Amino acid sequence: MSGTMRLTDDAIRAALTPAADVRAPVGLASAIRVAIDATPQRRRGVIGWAPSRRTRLALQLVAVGLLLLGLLAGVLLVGSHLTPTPPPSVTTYRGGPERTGVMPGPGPIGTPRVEWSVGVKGPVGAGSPVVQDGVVYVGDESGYVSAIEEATGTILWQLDVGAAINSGLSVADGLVIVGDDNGVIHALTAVGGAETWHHQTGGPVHSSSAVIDSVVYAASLDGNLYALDLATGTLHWPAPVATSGAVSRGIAVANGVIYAGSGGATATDAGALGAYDAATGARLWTAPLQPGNTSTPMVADGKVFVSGGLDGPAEATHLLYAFDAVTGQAVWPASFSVPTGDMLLPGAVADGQVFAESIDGSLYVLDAASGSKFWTAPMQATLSPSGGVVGGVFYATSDDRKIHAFDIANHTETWAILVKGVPSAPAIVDGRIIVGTGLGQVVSVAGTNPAPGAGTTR
Amino acid sequence: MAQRAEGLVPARDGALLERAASGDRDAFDLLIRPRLDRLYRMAVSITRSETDARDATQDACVLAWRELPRLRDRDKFDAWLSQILVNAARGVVRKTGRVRVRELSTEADADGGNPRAEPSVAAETDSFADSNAIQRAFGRLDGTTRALLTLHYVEGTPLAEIARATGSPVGTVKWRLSNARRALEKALEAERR
Repeated sequence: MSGTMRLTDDAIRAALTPAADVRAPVGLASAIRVAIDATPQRRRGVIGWAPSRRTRLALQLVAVGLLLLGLLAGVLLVGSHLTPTPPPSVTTYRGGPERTGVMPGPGPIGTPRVEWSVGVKGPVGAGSPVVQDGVVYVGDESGYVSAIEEATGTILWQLDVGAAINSGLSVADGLVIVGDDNGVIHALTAVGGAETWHHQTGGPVHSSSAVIDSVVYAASLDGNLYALDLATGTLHWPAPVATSGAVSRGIAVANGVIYAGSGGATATDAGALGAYDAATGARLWTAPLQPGNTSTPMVADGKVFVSGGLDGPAEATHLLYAFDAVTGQAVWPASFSVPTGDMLLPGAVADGQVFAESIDGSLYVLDAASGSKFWTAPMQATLSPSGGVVGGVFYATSDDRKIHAFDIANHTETWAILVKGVPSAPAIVDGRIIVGTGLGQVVSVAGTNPAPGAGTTR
Repeated sequence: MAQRAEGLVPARDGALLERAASGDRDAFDLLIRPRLDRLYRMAVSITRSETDARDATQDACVLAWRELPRLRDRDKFDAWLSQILVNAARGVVRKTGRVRVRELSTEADADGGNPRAEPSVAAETDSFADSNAIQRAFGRLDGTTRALLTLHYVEGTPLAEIARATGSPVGTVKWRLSNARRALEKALEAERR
């Protein structure tokens, strides 16, 4: 192809479309047949790496040995009159079921640098890292869950759950909970990654799960919320969400109430925020939102923060709302929107401030009480819809492959660091910021000064 | 624009699918052959290399054969197959080291100020780009970004379908597509320097 043209949709299409006469080469079908003849089908169990019986036995023995060692260590600690402090954890998307983005930290101390990076099986997006007991768990779009040693980046185990993972993981009571695109919610053992139970829903699971009091809460694109027993996977209840639309982003759980946004992708899809009794699934209240998709709700200080609108730039004004968490009444005089009306997603709320990122390329910080704008920071790229707050620092990731740190008090960007691939939502713990990336990496950014407890393997 | 063969599989294919999922290699062969050109073209779009496209297509077909018994919703076979192909092509791009994205240093970016104030390629009224430049710029992108642009611009796949195939909310797909296009523009700018 030749000639000049503007970089329009048509130009991109013309440049990228193979010539019409491109056909599969002669012999490819035969080569595929030969390869298939030599390839057995997989028919049971969790697909992906399939350890032999001997390997499984060895792994089980190792797991039992580790358990015994752990018990021994515990006994020794008690025996020496030391009080073991539970290691800080980031057990679910945005640091907790309230989805505030507040992380245990600390963040990197000193000059940030890439401490380690390790390749996983596929791009990491919504299956962003969680951390517990010195192990990072992450889900990727190739369908693998990876367990990685937090201190070194060493992969401990990987398991293919059978479909892409586009939802946030949770880890609790020795189990890793993950939903996949085949609509299956899996419970894997944190040690070894063996599947303990799974539950089939009616649609892909794109909503980050939450675990409270040994109950797993999850949502599916089939339009239902689910409550499952953590230990057994037994269904406590399913409940339809407020509208016919899907729950495509995370749910939040706080004070015995589940908050779920639902909606669709067109102007005729009603958006809504629903509050549901966590014990029964009964709907408590519903608040209408802009037509279109809704963000992951955040719950803090008795309020629920959520945005809604059509996600394409300038298709319709995107609004950020605050509702009373008990009554569902709007608490701001007016919903907030950016000047262009572009997509706006709240990423964190802390210390009376809401941190929201817009596709217009700016970070907006609002007064959580009134919805008025405190300050804004222009960015060199759009931020991702998730951040993390530790102390007086707001951490965010952006689509130009950076992790940023903002000094909240001074309204300034303190530093930014480049990583390989667009970073996912962060987990910030033990002096590290741990992200997955769109290039299939899991990256730990740490400071030049070690944080207390960092660099050790638990 | 290429015609897509997505959607519900025809009844005849449904029977072939059942046989193939039960281990019938001939049935799988009959399923794949009419789809091979489309898969290969998609692979060429993403990898920009006939050799890589051949590898990706073969990898995808073998993987599809291996995992077919685990496909729960047989009606979604074509979308599932396309996704496997996309993943395979991304994997080949990654393995062959054809990702040539120029990483900008943090310092350089910080010095660059707010690029929103700078005219983007798309915004420049006198910006022109020929197909070769766009193709070279495309070659600088990572496999995931290439796959998304290919699905949207070459395959004409509706956003809702990409969302289903990639397992993302439609809004996220739009977001990623917007970012992918911006990445292409940046790569094109880099090509022209």
